[in-house]
Amino acid sequence: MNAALLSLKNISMEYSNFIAVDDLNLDIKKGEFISLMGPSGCGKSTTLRMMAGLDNPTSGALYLDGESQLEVPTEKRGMPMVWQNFALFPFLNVQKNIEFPLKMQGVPSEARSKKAAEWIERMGLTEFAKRNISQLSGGQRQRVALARALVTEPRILLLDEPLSALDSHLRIKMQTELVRLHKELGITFIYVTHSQSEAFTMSDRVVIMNQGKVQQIGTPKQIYRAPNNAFVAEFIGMNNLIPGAVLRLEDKTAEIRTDLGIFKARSFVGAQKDTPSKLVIAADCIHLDGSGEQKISGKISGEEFVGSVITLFIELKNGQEFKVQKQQHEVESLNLKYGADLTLSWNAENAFLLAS
Amino acid sequence: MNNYSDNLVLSKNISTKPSIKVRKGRWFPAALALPPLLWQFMFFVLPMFFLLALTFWEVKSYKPVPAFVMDNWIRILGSSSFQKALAYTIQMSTLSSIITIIIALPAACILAFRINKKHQPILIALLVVPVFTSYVLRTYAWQVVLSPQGLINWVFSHLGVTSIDMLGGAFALQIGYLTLCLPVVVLILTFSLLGVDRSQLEAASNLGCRPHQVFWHVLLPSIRNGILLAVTTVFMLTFSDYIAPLLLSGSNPPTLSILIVDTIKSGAQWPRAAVIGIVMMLFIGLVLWLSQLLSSKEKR
Repeated sequence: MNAALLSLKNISMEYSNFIAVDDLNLDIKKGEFISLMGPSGCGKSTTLRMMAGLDNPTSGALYLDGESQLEVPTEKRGMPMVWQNFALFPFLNVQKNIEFPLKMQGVPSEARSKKAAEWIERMGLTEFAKRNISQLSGGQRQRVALARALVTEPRILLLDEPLSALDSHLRIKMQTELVRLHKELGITFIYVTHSQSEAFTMSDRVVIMNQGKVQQIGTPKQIYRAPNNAFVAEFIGMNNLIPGAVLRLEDKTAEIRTDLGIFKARSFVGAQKDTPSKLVIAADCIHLDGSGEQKISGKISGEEFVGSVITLFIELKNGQEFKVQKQQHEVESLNLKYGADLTLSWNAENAFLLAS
Repeated sequence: MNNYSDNLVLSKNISTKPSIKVRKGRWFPAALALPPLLWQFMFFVLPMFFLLALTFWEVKSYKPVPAFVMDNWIRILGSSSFQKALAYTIQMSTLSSIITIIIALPAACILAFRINKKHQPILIALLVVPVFTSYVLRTYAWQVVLSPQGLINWVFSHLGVTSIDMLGGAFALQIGYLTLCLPVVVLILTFSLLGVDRSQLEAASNLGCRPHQVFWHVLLPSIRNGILLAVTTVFMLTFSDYIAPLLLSGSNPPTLSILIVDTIKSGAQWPRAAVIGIVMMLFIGLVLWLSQLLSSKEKR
């Protein structure tokens, strides 16, 4: 076998009326931070639960260090999970919550409280050690949940949308803390999220899932710059897609005919003349000054301002909406107005075709 | 109209308006609450005072007459039959609490966790329906089942086992108490289990709990308040129950409720019966206070 720490082989999870996970294959390396990302109902949480042993797949195999895991009950798998609602025990105080997994392992009470104290300090919870869970803020609960999961020194930590219950300010703070924790511990983090920013900022690799199937596995940059298919290109947000059909194929480039004109772009493996495909242009690769070689025109229909970056929404002739992402000062200097005609342009090397 | 913001007086006037509205609204809920309050005062608080006063009265030619003597208290508290009955009743109620919880908890677990969500309401309804039939009737039915000529002994006789008289003892009394309490307790525990966050149970096994550890270390502490409520309910219902002792165990030994009736029957000793009644209420109060003390106060 290869060097994968955790291996999912042809895992499927079928319910009577739908398939939650469909023939999933995934190798997770030792020490990596990997995110499973996708829209709700894509099977990412089910996949995580199957790793933890909370659900059993209807078919497939799961290996940890080459050893089959599906027969191993969840309490013996040693893959603690951090839950979306933290699932802390309200009848135990902070320290007892953190000691809980050690107690279940039969660790003597002295060693237990010593170990818990280390984690309480590490997580900055010293003054809250004797408090009830109900007296803690969301961020503090999050830290207790992390400490409780990590106190047994597992090799793999599973995180199921752990930040979604926090407000956005805290979420960003916890992201940096998670990354720091991952670096310090050197263990494998498997992180489930629907948030692109969480997955992309923290992960070494991201797995994009949809309808129970893996759509793409890669580094955040690979996925961002080279989406595998139209779903990924659309899901990760800042891409513009124009449907059409391949008109002419050259060595590595192709021409696509769309109802907005004929465009040049990078081709994809297996492309053939007349196959329906989609032209993809990232929103930040579009010029407003007409300097690109491929051109298209439209009207400004809206804007979204998030600090230094601004997203313009351009309505094209066929009614389709195009997104353009620019630095705010750059847009300001152009002195644009709502409804004004605008020429969008990009270079062919920044556009590519995807099978649709 | 005007610019309110820079007119201090006007803005003050505006702010007083809603508070008038609030005050106006206050008498309405109070009015709604008044009838039950009056009812409680007339038929609970006043009779309580009367009951207390009655304990100091005297009985002259089979009639209670107003007086202020400690004689009833001294006689009752000092009588060995009262002490025995009190001890026996506490013992029986405590035993019943334990037995009921032990029988009800597995049933509640199955109802709450193992049953298909579709069938859950039907099964809960089946649990409630027997409560609609008369408790006296149900207890009588047990008399028929348990009596020397009853169903069980009929089966025994056909199996060649000598018949056992099951009526008239702690066993029959416990059966009666179960008839009274079991459906209620299963309901209390089921709803308390349904309120347990499933992810906590999953988290427990994920953190290394074997199934029995999940039960002892997570499930039981989670429904602690539910169990306390169930225990106090059983204790209160059985402590003052008259039907089961009357129909199933007789007065050998008597429970406090039997003793009250006996005391009244033997020479119209209403004041002494009142003493027993007050002591019973104090005990129930004590149990309620204890359970309050033991219940966990943490908010979710």
